[in-house]
Amino acid sequence: MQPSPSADSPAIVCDKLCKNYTSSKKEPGLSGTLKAFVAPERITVSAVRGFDLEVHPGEIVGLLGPNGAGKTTLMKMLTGIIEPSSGRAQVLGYEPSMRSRDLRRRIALVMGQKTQLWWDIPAFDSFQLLQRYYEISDQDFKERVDTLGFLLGVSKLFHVHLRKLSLGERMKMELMACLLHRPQALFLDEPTIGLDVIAQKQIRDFFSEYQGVHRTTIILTSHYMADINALCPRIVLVHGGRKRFDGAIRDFERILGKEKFVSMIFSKPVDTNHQIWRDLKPQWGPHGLSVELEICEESLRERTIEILSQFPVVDYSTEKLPIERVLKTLLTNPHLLPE
Amino acid sequence: MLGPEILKWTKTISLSLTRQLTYKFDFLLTLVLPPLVLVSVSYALWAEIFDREKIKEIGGFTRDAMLRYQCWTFIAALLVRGHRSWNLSEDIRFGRITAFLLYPFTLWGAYASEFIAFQIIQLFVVAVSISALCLLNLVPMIPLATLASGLALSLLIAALWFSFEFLFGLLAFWLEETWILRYVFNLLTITLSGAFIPIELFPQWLQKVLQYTPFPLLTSIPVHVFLGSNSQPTLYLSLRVLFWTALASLCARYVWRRGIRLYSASGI
Repeated sequence: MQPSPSADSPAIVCDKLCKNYTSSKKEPGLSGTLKAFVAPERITVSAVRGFDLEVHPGEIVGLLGPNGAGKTTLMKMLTGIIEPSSGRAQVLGYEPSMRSRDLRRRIALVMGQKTQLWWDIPAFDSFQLLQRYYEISDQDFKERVDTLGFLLGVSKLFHVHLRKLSLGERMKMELMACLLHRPQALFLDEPTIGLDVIAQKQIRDFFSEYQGVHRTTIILTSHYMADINALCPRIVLVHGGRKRFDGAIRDFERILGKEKFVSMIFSKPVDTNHQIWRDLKPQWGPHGLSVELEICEESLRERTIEILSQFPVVDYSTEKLPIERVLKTLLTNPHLLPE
Repeated sequence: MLGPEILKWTKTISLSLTRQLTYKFDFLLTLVLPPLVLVSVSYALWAEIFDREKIKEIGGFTRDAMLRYQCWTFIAALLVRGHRSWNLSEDIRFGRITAFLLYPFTLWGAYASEFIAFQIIQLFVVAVSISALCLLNLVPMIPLATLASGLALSLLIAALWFSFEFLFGLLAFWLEETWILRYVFNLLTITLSGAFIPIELFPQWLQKVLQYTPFPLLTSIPVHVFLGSNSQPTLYLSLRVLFWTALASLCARYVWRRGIRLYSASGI
């Protein structure tokens, strides 16, 4: 048995981690099928390339990136589901690809797109099985089921067949199942995908509260920036299988410069071709009655006064650039990302 | 106080029992119907051959002996070859084995538990089937010791069948489709194990070759144990079963270690 890392050593380490997938190429149609059968053409795709990461105990890190960036592949490697092609991963002092039972008792993975519970039995039956797998005492099991059921508001649904629950209810049961053994490292892969805004918020609030109490190390991937904003002080941007940003969320917002996000509403349609808008990346609302602008922090005051004096502004607000907008700009212009 | 490992197994088995009994009608249909259809066809065919040709004996089998043989093949099919773990291939292809790479329990343990749960249910089905065959006067009552010996050997051979199935299922790490393997293996088993035509009617050379394969163990030998016409010691038969089971298990272990490196957990 390997010891768990000390409090100051990283809980999760990736050192030049790579994952390549090999598959055969098939052209469309019957001739393509025959060609692939007789002389298959193998193609290798690098899903993750030279990825370095250190996550300290109790830290929450948000993994951001477009579809196919390599986020889920990273999660799979860190939980030991798949083996890296090269490089090294370490979680809580263990090499995940060795799939040691000690590590498996200490981690959990929640997959928003895939259920791990048994579909055709009530969730409570699955919990009881997991109690045995994770060797949880009866007293701890009862206490944890009661607490988690209360926090997630699903206590009354324990004895309903899983297939009869709504998507949100099922996801809450998945969360419960993954937290019963109090994992030290938790991997959340799109835990709020497909959920309505209320269920999304409930799950965010739950994790926020849970992490505050248990100081679990969490890696979260989500396409909902609200999840990232609410839970992750640190974010890692993955693009093309490589790490393109790693730092505090406030620094991420500053990649595009110190710009403020200004919204204005006009009493009547304005000239959208006026040269005043030229450098401000305007996003026009219908009929030129509203606009969203990006204005440099240093010139915010003078530019705002200039617009207010020339146009019939009835309302305006200023805020920092939303993370969605930063991400969208960076993903469509990856050359802006630091190497 | 049971150890934690025993508790994991017992809980997995009990959960598998619950799951298998969830879809009662489907379960019984897939469990009993295929072997029942096969044995009904072969029963009717052999009865017709004997009656139409006015044959007294074929290869040492009288009409009654042949029909009794066919009835016991039904029992062997239920108990020895009833279990289907071919869904392992699908589970690998669609990334459904992921949960058992995360839980502190093995994938083999999960499938083996499901197999044990299946055999528990199957014992009840077999008990009902044997009672029905006796009541319908299709087979005579057999001594309890013979019945117990036949059931014990059949259960042991079922473990061998499970090992083969698990091994073939693991090939899904490399193959997109494994149904053709399933089809060929089932066809070979039905033909070469004596499920349709008793092995005693095969050419001598083929009978000799088959002695070095696991096929006779899958139908012919347990049926002869039930019929009381088996000439080989039970210990020797058990050792043969254990040899093939160990071989299949070692192969499965090797295939698993190689195959899991290729696993991509697709669908996640």
